[in-house]
Amino acid sequence: MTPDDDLDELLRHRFAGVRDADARRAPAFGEMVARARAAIPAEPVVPIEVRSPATRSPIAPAAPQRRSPWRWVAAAAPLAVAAGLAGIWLAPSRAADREFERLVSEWSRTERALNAPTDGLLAVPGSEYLRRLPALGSGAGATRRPS
Amino acid sequence: MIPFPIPRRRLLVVAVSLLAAVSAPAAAQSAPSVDDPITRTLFEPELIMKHRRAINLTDEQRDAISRLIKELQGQVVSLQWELQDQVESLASELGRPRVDLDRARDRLERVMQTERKIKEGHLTLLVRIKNLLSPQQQATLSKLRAEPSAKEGVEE
Amino acid sequence: MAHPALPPPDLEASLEALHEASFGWARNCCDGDPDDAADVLQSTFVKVLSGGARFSGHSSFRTWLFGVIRLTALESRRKGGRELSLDGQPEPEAHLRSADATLIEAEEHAALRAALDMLPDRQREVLHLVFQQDLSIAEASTIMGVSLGSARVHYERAKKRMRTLLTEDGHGRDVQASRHDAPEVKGPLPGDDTRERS
Repeated sequence: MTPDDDLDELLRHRFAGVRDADARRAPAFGEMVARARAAIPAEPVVPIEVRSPATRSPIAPAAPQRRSPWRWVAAAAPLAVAAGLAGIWLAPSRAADREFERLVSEWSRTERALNAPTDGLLAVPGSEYLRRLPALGSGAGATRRPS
Repeated sequence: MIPFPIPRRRLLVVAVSLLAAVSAPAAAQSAPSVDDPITRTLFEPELIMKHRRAINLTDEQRDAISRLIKELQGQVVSLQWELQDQVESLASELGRPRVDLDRARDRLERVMQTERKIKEGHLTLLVRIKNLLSPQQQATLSKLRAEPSAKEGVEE
Repeated sequence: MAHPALPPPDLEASLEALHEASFGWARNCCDGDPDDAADVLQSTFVKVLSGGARFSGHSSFRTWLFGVIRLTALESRRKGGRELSLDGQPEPEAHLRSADATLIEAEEHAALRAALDMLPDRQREVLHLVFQQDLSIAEASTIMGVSLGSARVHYERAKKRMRTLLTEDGHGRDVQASRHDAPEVKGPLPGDDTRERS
């Protein structure tokens, strides 16, 4: 090895270590994409006005009836605690499930875009004639049926 | 030896077909057909995900499939970009009034090499996934695939 | 002959495939600061996903993306006006590897970063792109926005300098010269394109 090869080897080795360190340090891709999409300005929301044919006045959505939320909180508290504990237990598995679904969906999108552009070259010119060759020994004018 | 002369117009048609093939992915690719001898006994990840409860996919199998997909996804996406560049380059040559056959062959060779790598990667993924599944799981998936209206395995 | 528009492969999948490499390059563009690198990469994602930066297909996707990252880092540096400092923080998860491996790695990293810090920006960039990103000098020149000839000169000078820096006392400290004392390139080289390209 020449001295230049030695230096190249040394630099490759050192940079490989830095590459591995950078890979470990890289922020989670999914989170970065989510934040980026959240930062992209959304389309302005155009309010839709619905007019009643009879009155020609806007139909206002019915105002929700006011109920005290506290009775629901009291009833749901034990369930919430149980759900929380179950959630803690199931969280790693659910996260893995979500990751699996995400990866499969992503792969399906990629897979649908896969194609072999050169497949068109398999249609050899003249092949339509080859499929209609006369069968030997079967008399003049006889043709083999295309398979 | 090609028995019939290839008219220049045919070459132009091929060039346009190449570009059309690259730009019309969805119709060309779908789930493996039972008539496709190469893929009919293999199982796409989407099929496995859809019927994972029916085949009792274990957490280990799920995680292994996730790892395989992740590994291949990166490779295939890079190859797709290369393929796009190479097809454009070939189509550009074929679109000339006088085509340099050596150059066209050289560019075709590059396109086919990249196609080969993509196909090989895809096959590797499908084979490794299949080898993770038990014979019973494979049999169940084959049956479910042939009966798409079956309720069993549909996601809750 | 006019070509019909070709649909690109999935953009998010393309970004993910290059995510770790992109972060490494962003970090290089931010003098090794991982937090600044994350910010630059985040801004790059916004540009790419919103269509603010569009891949035209004239180079490889990676070459184009790295160019966008580099420009975004330059913009960030101009806007922020901050003194981007060399990263001296320990790597996370270091405790998960053996203590010996961690120590050796840390020393090697420190030596390399100290040596790289001695180089002019162009030389540091081309070394990163060739040795860390495994790109050719031609691809590096496209990302850097310089001619191939210039990139080759930067590359050879950078290697010559690194030979001295990495072998001087084994710790990357060159007692003879500093980054400011002996810049090997004064001003742009012939063929350097100093205009920023998107």
